[in-house]
Amino acid sequence: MKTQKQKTLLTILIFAFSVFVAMGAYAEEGAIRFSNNAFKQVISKAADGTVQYDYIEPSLVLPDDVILYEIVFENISGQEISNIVINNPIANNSVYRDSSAAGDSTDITFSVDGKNFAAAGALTVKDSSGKSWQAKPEDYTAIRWLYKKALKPGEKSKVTYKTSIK
Amino acid sequence: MFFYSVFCAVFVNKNLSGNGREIILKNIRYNLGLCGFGISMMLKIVAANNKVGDTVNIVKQYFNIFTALIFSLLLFSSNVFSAAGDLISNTATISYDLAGVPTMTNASTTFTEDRRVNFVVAASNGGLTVPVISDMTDAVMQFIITNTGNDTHDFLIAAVNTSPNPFGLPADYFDPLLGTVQTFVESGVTNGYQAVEDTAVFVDELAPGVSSTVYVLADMPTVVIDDVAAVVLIAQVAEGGSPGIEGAFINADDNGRISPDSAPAGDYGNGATNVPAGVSTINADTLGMETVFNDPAGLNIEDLSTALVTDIVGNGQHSDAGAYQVKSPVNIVKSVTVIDTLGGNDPHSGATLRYQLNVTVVGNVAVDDLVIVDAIPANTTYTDDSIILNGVSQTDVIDLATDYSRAIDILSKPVVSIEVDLSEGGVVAIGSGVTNTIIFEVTIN
Repeated sequence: MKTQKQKTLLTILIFAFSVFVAMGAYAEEGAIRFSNNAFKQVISKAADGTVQYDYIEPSLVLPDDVILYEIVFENISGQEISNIVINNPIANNSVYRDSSAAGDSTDITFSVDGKNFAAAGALTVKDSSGKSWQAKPEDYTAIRWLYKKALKPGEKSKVTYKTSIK
Repeated sequence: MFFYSVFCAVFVNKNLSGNGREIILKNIRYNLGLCGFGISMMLKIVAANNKVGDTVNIVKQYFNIFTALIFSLLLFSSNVFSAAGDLISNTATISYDLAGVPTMTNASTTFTEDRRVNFVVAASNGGLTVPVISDMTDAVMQFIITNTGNDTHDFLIAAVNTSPNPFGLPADYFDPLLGTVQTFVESGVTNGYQAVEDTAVFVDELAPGVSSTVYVLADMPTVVIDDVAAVVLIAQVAEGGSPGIEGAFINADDNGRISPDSAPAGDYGNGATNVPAGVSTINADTLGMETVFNDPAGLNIEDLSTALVTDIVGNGQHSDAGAYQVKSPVNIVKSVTVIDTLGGNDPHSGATLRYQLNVTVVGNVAVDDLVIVDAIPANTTYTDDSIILNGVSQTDVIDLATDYSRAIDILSKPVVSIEVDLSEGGVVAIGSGVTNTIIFEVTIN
């Protein structure tokens, strides 16, 4: 039989964990300050016909909405950092949007199984009959960016891509 | 999400203390079973640890609870039935070398997929009016409701008279008999309406992308051929999550949009469920799940909401109209083949004309006392004993119990017409879709 104190502590811990999981972006820090943020794309048309793209907090997200992921990495150490590779599995309920992955000084590859990565167009998937087809963007399950330079102390860079909500 | 967090904390702790309290939470309806699996796993772990009951195991309990809770959350996000309310989690990983030492770091972001209420009602009668006959009872009109949103819902249904005729002309002219319009959902094992099987009065647990068939039944007044009565089926969104139980109506979203009162159209479920007009409220967007009405407007002016005005976009309702049209319940297609005396098809004197009548009952009810009479054309002479019914030769005289065909007047001649009693003296009802083929021959004088 638990004491009231134990139960109260348990409640607080579970509550804190749930809030932690639910609150959205969080990052870990080491030599690199690393963050991952999601934004909902909002398109508006001005009176002169020009189209404006805004990116806002994803507080109201519905099927077919476009989400921009912005992954920022900053060298907060006093030394150069090399061999930087960023991996990002496509989120649940989401489909990668063709040609949206970007990142300065990066080689971008994709995967349909989360293990093997290749350039867009070089990936294949098999249908139920065993026939292989060129993978479509909606088949991608993960993206990998290989940062080709060394990141100097204080230097910051980012990679981005977009998904559509299913 | 705040409420979800509170829910997890309270739910888990209450159950650990053995209260067995039932908690129903609106925004996890379908996920509850999956969550329950994760939590039951957690409870088993805790129960095992409680047998030991020392301080070390209390710490273990907390660790195991978190493990199980993570499992529950993963199950939440992998729900295959609907996406609304799912946490969409994304974790990026960066690996790098610092002074030759490999290092790896993660960064995550999570938000909630909100609930888009979207569905479509469409008349499903082959793109045509529903043929009826005067004074017909329980004339069946069919509709399809498709859930195009991202959550499982119940749908409340009501049918009401409307105008104009969705098919254009002739103009909507009459209404079904007052108080006879009913709605039922296909809920049996046999397709098509059966009074015994299809007794459900609301659409139950319609998952995203899935359709359900709804039948409107109505009694016809005394009317004449070609008259039209337009009827509209209106569907109202309601909560899913409790199979077999009519879900609570959703008459307002979080964006200020509302549904109108159902009373003007006569309430849902054949008058059993009133849905009052919603109260317009604009709630701030949060990281939790919001509900957004996104249902389309009625396609045409006769596609009404329960306010009896044309259905507007985003009111938690959608509708479509069909029409009953009075038609002959019997369709006859007549054709002729010329067989001349030389084996060709030249209609010269002495040539035979073989007439064929394909008689089909249309509509959705059987026809009684169906007697076919066809006059012998001028300048032709009936060929004795030439009547054939469904491939079986008939006699020219009345010989009931053997056949029900005759040539009038075979005894005094000339024969002026042939007559075939398909109902065999009023005994046989001719079912809808059944075709009887009658053949007879004449010669050209």
